[in-house]
Amino acid sequence: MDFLKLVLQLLIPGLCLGCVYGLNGIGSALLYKGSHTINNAQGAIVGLGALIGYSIQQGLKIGLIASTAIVVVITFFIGVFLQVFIISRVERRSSMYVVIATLALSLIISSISMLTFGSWTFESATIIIHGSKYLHINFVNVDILWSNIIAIIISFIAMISIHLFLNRTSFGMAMRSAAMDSFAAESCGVSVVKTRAVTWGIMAALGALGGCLMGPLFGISAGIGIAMGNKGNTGAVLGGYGNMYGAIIGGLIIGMVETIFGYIYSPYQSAFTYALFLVFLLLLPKGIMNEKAIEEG
Amino acid sequence: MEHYLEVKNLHYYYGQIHAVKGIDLYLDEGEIVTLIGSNGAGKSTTLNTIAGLTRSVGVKGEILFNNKNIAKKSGNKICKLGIMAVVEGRHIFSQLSVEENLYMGAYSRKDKRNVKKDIDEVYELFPRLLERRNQMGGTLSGGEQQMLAIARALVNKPKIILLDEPSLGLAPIIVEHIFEIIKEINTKMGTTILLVEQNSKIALKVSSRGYVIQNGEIVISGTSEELLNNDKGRHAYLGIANKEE
Ligand SMILES: Nc1ncnc2c1ncn2[C@@H]1O[C@H](COP(=O)(O)OP(=O)(O)OP(=O)(O)O)[C@@H](O)[C@H]1O
Ligand SMILES: [Mg+2]
Repeated sequence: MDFLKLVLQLLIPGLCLGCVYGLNGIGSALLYKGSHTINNAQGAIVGLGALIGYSIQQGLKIGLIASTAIVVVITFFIGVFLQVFIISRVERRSSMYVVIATLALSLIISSISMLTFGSWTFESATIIIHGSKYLHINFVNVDILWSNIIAIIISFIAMISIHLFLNRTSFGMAMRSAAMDSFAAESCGVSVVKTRAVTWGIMAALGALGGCLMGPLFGISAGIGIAMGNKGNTGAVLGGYGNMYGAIIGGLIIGMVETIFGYIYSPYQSAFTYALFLVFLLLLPKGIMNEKAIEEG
Repeated sequence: MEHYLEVKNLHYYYGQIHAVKGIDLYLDEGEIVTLIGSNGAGKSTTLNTIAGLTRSVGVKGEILFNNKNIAKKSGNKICKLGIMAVVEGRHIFSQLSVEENLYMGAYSRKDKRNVKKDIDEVYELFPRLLERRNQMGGTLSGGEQQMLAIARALVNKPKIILLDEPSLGLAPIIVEHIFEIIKEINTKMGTTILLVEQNSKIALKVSSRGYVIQNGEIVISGTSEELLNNDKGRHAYLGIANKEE
């Protein structure tokens, strides 16, 4: 019974972290697939999103889920805005410019967040059901945070929605086509300017969604997103760069591994996780879903 | 006289490189017209510029479609106007199935209800694609990919198709098949076609008129018959055709 208890105590937070990394990884995978580049500003956008979420909770006196929904919409437009006014202009030169430009953006957004909100860690609204923050599971006598459970459920809903959007809707198909061959997509009537902007919107919104959902766990600060952005990217590489499903699986693996290492010896949590990631890359350089192999037929 | 599509004094610059230097050409409704030239002559640049697929800052001059200047419009807008390019080198969507590729061809169509029927019609033209409808685009052979690229354009029901080297890298027998279909598209569907080719002989056989482009300029133009018999013309472009014969 104790073992089962331990498993549950690790599994749920691990899964929760993994989901959030997965949400961040989806964005990196879509971006890499479409533009062969990396968004270094993802973490900063996630942090900003979480802080906006906190302000909304305070200002409008609304709960976690409602405030998160608003943040998702706001960050979607922040993503679109950044792509249209900055990224699309530097992207023309080379994808390397985007790497550097987003690094600059990351520092700028982080500084603005810091100046506006200070360097405090705020307490996020959390999920309370039946008057308790915890779900008590009787037969193993374990308490699990409702906010963790809800975070996992919402993340899965978001992932399934993105999957359906990309595969079942006309604009989603256009986005996938443009990511495969922007030239051909444009010739078929797809506005690649639009699909790229929406890719950034989705990337920012999914990341911020993850950031908000993590609020009850870590508290909200400008720096909350940095690790999420990085680990989302790492998960995406682990999964096979450019493949969205690989990014989700990769994110889940990183979240689980990190949680287990944290339990074993927390000071080396991140070092162990990244070391394992490197070993994995050496053994399986193309990642789990081996995107290139699919591309090359 | 007014033409269906008229290109007037068109220039294209890739930065400093002046690739197209003041081209004039026109298409009348229902015609097949060939643009011939050797490697690097500026054929693809011309075609892509008409289709709005080159960067608009590099474009100078006029492209009139139904007497409206469409130069510098983006590619997706030109597609929506009914001018569809089949660009050089089989740009198909490698990780979409053949059928999904065809559906993408109809992306800008308003009458989505009729798309299924039109895809079935296109399958009749290319039975090979029907056999492979669920296969990923990237796993098709070169010839099949070329057929798919043309088929995808047809599903759009365009008024004008711009075809860039449909014969590139294909076996002679497949080239012949493709040109038969090009002719059929023109006669049955009434589609106006601009054909870019190095394989000038077969292209001139299906077209009514042609232009020869050299170093970004039109050097000769005339009916296909004239071009086939023109000594100067043979000199300008048949060098390549001879090799392929
Ligand atoms: N992206 C580009 N950047 C710079 N120069 C280019 C670019 N694309 C083409 N060019 C140049 O423009 C000229 C015309 O090229 P274009 O592709 O239009 O030729 P083409 O007639 O289609 O040749 P081919 O038969 O080989 O396809 C060439 O000199 C080429 O080097
Ligand atoms: Mg060419």
